[in-house]
Amino acid sequence: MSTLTVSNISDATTTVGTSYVVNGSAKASANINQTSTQTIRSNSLNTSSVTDDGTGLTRISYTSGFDNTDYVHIATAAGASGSDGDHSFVPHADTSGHTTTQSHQVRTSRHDGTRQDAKYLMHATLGDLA
Amino acid sequence: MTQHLWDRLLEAKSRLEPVQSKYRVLFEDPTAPDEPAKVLVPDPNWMACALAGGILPPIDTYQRDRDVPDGQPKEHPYAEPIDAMTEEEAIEYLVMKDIDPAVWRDYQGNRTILKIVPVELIPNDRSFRNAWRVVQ
Repeated sequence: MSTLTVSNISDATTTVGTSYVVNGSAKASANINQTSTQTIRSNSLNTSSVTDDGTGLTRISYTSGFDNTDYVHIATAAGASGSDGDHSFVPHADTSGHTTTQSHQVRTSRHDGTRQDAKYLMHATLGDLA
Repeated sequence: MTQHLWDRLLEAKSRLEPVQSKYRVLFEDPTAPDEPAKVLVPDPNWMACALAGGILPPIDTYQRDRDVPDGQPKEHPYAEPIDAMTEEEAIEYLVMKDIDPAVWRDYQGNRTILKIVPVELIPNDRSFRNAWRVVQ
């Protein structure tokens, strides 16, 4: 593998530092089917496993861990009807979610707070790798 | 110098076909006896790396990094990669990496709290998901 070492990237009108690209890229992502027997769809990155912790509770583990537990986690849920997640949202509680540099738990819920499995749970994580 | 693990994962993803495992790991957390059994699902791109070899770090580097405080240097990203594993060896590696040692190492009770099972044995029906236990 060859390495391109540059400080800035330009499209001829706008120039940004490469640190924006390096630091702004998602370091991990996955698309998870929470319903039925759970599976991770094939387009994942830097994910070693997911753990089905119960209804609406999924733990995501990273292959290459993060430097600290302040990383940014973004997730959304998708489905075809209210019963499989298209009305759900994805809160992230660090107090009881046992967030570590190698894993954290995501929780799909209805808006009344009831946990719900989603047909697809999609997440991306940004932050500094260890 | 060894390439960073994340760079190795990117390179591997560009050339390896994902492998969906035929196994799942069913376990209970002895520190939370009221919680339902949990099911670990291997990632298909991770499994491809494990079967190919030359990408993943030794398992003991992850175990030592569990105790490293936030912001301190960690061992696993630059550790020398290990050789190819069989699927069964890869599942054992994943148990030690992604499941708390309280489950697979420290538990001394009489219940069976961890089983590696074919994916077909995990119920499709999740109506009573929060009542699942490991069958004794």
